[in-house]
Amino acid sequence: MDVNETFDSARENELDRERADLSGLLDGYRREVLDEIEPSAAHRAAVHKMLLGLVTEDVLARKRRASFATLLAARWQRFCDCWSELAAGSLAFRLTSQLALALGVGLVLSILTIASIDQGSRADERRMQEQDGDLLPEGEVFDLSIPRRDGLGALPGEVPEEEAAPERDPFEERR
Amino acid sequence: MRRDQDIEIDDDARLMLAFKRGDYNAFATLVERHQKGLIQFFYAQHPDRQLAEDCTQEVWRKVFKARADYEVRARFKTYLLRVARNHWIDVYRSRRKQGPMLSIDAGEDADAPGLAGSLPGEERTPVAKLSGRELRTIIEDALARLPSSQREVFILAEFQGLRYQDVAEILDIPVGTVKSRMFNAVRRLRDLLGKEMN
Repeated sequence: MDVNETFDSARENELDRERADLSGLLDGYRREVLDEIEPSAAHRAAVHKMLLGLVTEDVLARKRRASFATLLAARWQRFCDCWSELAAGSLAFRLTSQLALALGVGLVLSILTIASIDQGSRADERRMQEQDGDLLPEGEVFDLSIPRRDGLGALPGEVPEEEAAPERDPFEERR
Repeated sequence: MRRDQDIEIDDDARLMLAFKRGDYNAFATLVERHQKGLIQFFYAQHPDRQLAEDCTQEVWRKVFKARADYEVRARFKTYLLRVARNHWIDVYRSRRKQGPMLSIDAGEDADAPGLAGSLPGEERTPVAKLSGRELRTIIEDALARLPSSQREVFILAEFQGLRYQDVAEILDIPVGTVKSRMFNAVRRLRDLLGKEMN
C-alpha cells in the first residue's frame, strides 16, 4: 500500500545517480527498440478505418439530432396552431352555446306565457257560461241515472220481474 | 487538481478543443503526433507489438468518444497517457483472467545487431558481448519482473520522458510516492540487470 511518502534531497540525488547508471543500457533499449517502433501499415489502415467509421457515425448522429430538432420544431408549431384553432373553436362554441341557451330560455318562456294565457281565457269562458246558466255551478252533478224502482213501472217493452218468473209452491212440488 | 487557468494550454490541447468543437482534422493531427508514443507506452508495458497497436487504437476510440467531456486540466499528453494507463489496467485484468500474459514478443527486428554494440561507453562491459536480442530480452524480462506499480512509474518517467509531477497526475498519486516507486524500480532493475549481465 502506497502512502504519500516524503522524498528527501539525499534520496533524490541517489535516485538521479542510479538512473544515470542505468541510462546507458536503457538509452540503447529506447533507441534500438522503442524508437524503432513505427506504426505498421496495417495499424495505420485500421486506425484510419476506425476514425472514418467514428466520424461517419458522428455526422449521422448530428444529422439525426438536427432532423429531430426540426421535427420537434414542426410538431411544436403544429401544436401551437392546433391550440390556437382550438381556442378559436372554443370561442365559437361559447358563442353558439350562449345563443342556444338564450333561444331555449326564450322558447320555454313563450310556451309558459301561451299556456297561462290559454288557461286564463278558458277560465273566463267558463265563468261566462256559468253566469248564463248553461252550466251547473261548480260542484253540482247533474243526475242522468234512470229510476227503476221508484214506482214508475217498467220501461216500455220491459217485462216485469214478478210476471216473468212466478214463485213456485214448495208443497205442490212435494206432492 | 490544478485549476484551468493555471494550465498553460499547449498546442495539443488546443487541437483537442478544436476537435471538441467538431474539427475532425484536428483529431487526425493528434493521432499522427501521438500514435507512436502510445504504441511505445503499451509495448514497454508488455512487449507485444500487436497488443500495443490494438490498445493504441482503442485509446483513440475512447478519446474520440469522450471529447464532449474534455477539459484542459493538464497537458494533453498527460491526459492521453492517463486514458492509456486506465485502458492498460482493463486489458491487464481481463488478460489475467484468461491466463498468463506472454512475456516476450518475437519482433521481426529482434535479431537486429547493434543494440549492445551501439551503447556508448559499454564496449568494455559484458553488455557489449550480448547480442541485440539477448539484451532486449534481458531488459524486457527485468521490466516484466517489476511490480506493476513500479513498472508504470518507470515507463512513464524513463521511456515517456515525463516529469515526476506529470506522472503523479497520470497515476493520481502524490509526487513523493512517484519518486519512491521510481527509486525502488531503478534499484530493482539495476540488481536484476546486474545479475543477468554477470
